[in-house]
Amino acid sequence: MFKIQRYNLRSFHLPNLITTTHRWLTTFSYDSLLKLKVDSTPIQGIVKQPINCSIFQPYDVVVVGGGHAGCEAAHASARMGVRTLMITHKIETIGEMSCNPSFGGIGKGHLMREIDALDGLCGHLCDKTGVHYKVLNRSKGRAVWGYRAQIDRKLYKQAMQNEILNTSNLHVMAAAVRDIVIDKEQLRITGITLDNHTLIPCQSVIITTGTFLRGCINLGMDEQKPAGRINDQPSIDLAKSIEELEFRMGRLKTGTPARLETKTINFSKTIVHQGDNPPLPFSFLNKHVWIKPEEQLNCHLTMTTAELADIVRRNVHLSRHVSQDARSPRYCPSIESKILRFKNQTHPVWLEPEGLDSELTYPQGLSCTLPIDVQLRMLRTIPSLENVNMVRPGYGVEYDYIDPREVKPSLETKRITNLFFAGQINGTTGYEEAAGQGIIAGINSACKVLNKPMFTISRGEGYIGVMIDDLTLHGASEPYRMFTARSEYRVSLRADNADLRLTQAGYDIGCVSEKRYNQFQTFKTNYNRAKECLQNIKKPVHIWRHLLNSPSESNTYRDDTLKSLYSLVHQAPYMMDNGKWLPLVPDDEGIRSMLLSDNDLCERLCLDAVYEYLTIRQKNEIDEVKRDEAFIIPDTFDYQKLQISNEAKQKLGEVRPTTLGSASRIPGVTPATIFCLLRALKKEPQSSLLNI
Amino acid sequence: MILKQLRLYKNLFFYRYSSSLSTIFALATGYQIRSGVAIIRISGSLATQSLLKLTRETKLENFQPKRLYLKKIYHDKTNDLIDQCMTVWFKGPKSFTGEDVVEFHIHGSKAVASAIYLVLSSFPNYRLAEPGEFSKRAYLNGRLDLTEAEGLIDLINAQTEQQRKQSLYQMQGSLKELYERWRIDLVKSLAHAEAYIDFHEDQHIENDILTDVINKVKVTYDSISLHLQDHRRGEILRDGCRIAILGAPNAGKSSLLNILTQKPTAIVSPIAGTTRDVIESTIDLGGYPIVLCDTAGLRITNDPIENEGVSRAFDRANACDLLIIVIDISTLSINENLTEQIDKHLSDLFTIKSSSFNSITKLIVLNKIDLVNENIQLKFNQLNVNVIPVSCISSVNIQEFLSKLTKYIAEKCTEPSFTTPYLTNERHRIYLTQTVEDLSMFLTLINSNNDLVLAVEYLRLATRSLGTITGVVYTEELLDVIFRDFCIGK
Repeated sequence: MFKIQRYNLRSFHLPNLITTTHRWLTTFSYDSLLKLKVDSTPIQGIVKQPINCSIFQPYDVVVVGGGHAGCEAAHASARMGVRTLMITHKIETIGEMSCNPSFGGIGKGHLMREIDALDGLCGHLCDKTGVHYKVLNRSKGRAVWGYRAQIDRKLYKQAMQNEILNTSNLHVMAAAVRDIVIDKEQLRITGITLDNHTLIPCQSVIITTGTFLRGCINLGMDEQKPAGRINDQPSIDLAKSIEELEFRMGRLKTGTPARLETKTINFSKTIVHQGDNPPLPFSFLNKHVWIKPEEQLNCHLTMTTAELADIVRRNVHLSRHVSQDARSPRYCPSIESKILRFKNQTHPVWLEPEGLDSELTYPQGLSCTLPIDVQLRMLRTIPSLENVNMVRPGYGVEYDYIDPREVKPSLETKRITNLFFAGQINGTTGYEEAAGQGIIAGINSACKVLNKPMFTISRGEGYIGVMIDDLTLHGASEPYRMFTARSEYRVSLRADNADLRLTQAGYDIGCVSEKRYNQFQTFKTNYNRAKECLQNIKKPVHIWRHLLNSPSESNTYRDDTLKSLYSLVHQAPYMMDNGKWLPLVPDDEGIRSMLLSDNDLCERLCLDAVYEYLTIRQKNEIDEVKRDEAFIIPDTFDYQKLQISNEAKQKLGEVRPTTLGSASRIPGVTPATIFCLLRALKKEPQSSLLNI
Repeated sequence: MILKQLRLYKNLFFYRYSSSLSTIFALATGYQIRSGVAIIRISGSLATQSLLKLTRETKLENFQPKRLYLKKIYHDKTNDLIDQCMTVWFKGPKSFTGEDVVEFHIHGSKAVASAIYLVLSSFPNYRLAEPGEFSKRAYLNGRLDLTEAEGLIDLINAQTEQQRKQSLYQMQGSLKELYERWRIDLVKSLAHAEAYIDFHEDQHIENDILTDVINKVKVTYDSISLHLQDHRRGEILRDGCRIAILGAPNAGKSSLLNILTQKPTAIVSPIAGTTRDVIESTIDLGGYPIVLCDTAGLRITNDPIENEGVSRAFDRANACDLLIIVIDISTLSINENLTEQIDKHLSDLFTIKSSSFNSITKLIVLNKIDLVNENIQLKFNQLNVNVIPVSCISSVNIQEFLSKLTKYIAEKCTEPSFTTPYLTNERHRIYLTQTVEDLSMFLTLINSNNDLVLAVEYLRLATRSLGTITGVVYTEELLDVIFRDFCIGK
């Protein structure tokens, strides 16, 4: 049984507190303490920050932060059935979208579908708060369709808070965390302390503080003030306490553009972009989104001018962001960097609505840190913004991040047992990247409490796996964003099959609800039945041609090769033309009527047929990767004892890969090194070999 | 609860270890083969397929495991005979790697090994083994103990080192520059295609970027194809040019061989059918290594031994780089059109075993001009350039024949110059062939207005195959190109 012992008491200043603590520690075991307090508290909702209390009731998992990573983490952990506490500065900012008013995109949409497949929140919530749904990349193939939507900030935040405050096993507290409390001998989490020195004992802690670790806002040269987001306090004590644990940290920066008053924009000078009709939902649970297609808001496109470039160039010495060395993302550069780095004088600016009843418009593509007066002058050079009113200037944020090579693929830190980092703190950017890490950290912190094996997703199983593998192996030299180019198994890891890839595993580990699982099972049974049926109808090609009545090749040579309907449905002339091939499906087992009534199922079958050849080719590779991932390298493994080159030792020692598979992906590690490593691992006790 | 966990562990374990892996093959006897016998080893779940396909057997029951069988092996598509060799298979887990293993004990010749490599690499899920991969599989499947593994590490190290040295040696200078240029071109094309996929819509990446990519890939595709169609010049230069001497019985093939080898290598007699087996001899002609084969005279016969000799002559001729066909001029009528008669004679000869040797260069020798009385010099001037009249007995025109032969051989092996490097490594050839195939799939798919991702996937595969020779392409390298060449904001 786990007992609370040997607290690190450095945050307790008053002598009487120490005595009280000792009394608690010696009198109660963890379980009795839990029982005592649990009976008197509600199972969900807000708990008050304790006043004059030395030790608060204990929790299994404490999540620090209420952003997109924090919400997914806390909800996942609570779903797994462990007592979870979310601590955030303000209840009102839970689920805040600090930057762009949109979710999804290319690569990011894939992450959301995977989060949804694990029963996460963001996809489902976006289906009931979006104001403009648009699937990107429709012309380029289904594997890279990017589900994306403009979201009503206010509605999203409300929906998220509603969800978080009404989840059983989940409590929320408004407070500032001061310190992480660890058992110094076992290097293991035992609790956290708040800024009023209250101790909250817990088994696992997930830190999801985003840009708040020593966050600092830049606006022009003169204005620089500590803040995680405009009008919100940064976390400075917590940053210090993480630093004291000797985590490698670095500094990154990001930016957000000005907010404009919608009624002062002359939209007649822009190109209108309408939402999709019908809008496609993010979640596998939903067949429709909440909004009627015709009620969606529009986005507008305009371009910057040469005049703007000129203003930026003349004032660039006034931008603190440009003059600093903290690294900013290459793919989301401020307008200053765009003008300085690239020849083209004009850049696209998307004017995006912030919500149904919002007065504001978000000019995507214009993030900048120039002084306020320059920003306004700059904005007014843009066609359609000549008379625009700037409600809030753009600004840059600089913040501490942890070198993500400090965390394992489970997102637990390598230094401290049961301490997890997730989200922007690991050097990523974007809501979806944060949420994807949040759900993994949430699941695993609960697994730790429940003594379950760690839940990880490999590169071959999902974009979440690609992201975490990239981060934990290569670190983050700039804020990390997901693209489809990052995945080597792009045709296998598609948005449409995220449920087939992850839902079963999620259910096995316990983070997927019965409701979703039942729906998934029904789908999977239908899917398999239909696929098998299509694969079994075989006829010579020329007969198929005749039956499918394709005019272009009706009189060509007689081709006697036997082919299944499945191998033909995707081919060019018949592609996705359900009307043509559906009548050929036999109806003796009700398969045709099932397909006729479920367009979604038809579409997914066709998609699988399109990518079948390459996915089979990739499956072997994915399996090989998985086999190597099953060989765990213990945390304490000493690379010095291997008989390998010093260069290889140095590389392995730096990254400290957690599995043989990840070791083999480090650039410069040779097959011979891997073999040496494998041999050494086989000598270790058998228990350390399996990923359990 | 506990039961559920147990089941989970079991699933994890089962899933991870029962998963199918690709089937790998390689020469187990090392690549520098100039030996009597070389062994090609194939390991993996699909290994036995190669045994059936190459030997044209239908049932695996015809092969008992661990038993050697003497079999002819054929190209599975063209049905050409590749070699006659010993085959054996081991049923997993009782094999070196613990998987099903097939071995072909082939003749230690480059040509045979290359032919088998090409066939094997065309099978689905087959790929060339990485250095030490057989041993790694053996180890993973528990077929080696720790002490054995000790030695293996040295072996893998040595193999890798040897391969590194070997490819370094080959990769110096022009070849390296050439491959590196292709690699850079492909990486750039791929990066641009990826940028188009990921950022085209919100960043206004121009539509013509894709046209650029297609054009650039086409150029790379063409130059790699051209490089592959070098008629094995580099390899011929290294291993020797193989020449077979063919002709009707008693045309004077063996006399020609003896002239070329400058010693009585073959028995010469006026009796037709003196040479029955293939007689091989290695010579140096003008600095080029040459393997000469004298063969039995080609004719339809009832003598089983002679018939076998004729078959062998055809088989050998098929594997040669150059054919010398000897025709007894006294069998032709001098006063009629010689070129037509020669063509007829050749097709008569070749149809004996319904071959054509269309792709092989031929040099035609009209022997025994000492037997023809008339002054036919004028007639000879009208002959094709590849026909040369000689007399082996009186040594007429032999010098001209030799210089013409040298010219032909020089064309075959052409001295590698700095500007036109030649392929010298079968491993490179396999990966380059793969690259070309994938590039051609890319070009087909992208022009047929199909799924763009599907097309680009082949460009990725091509880049990876090429990367296997020149160095792996990491995503970071692609991203560098993307962000260098495009302004991408969100």
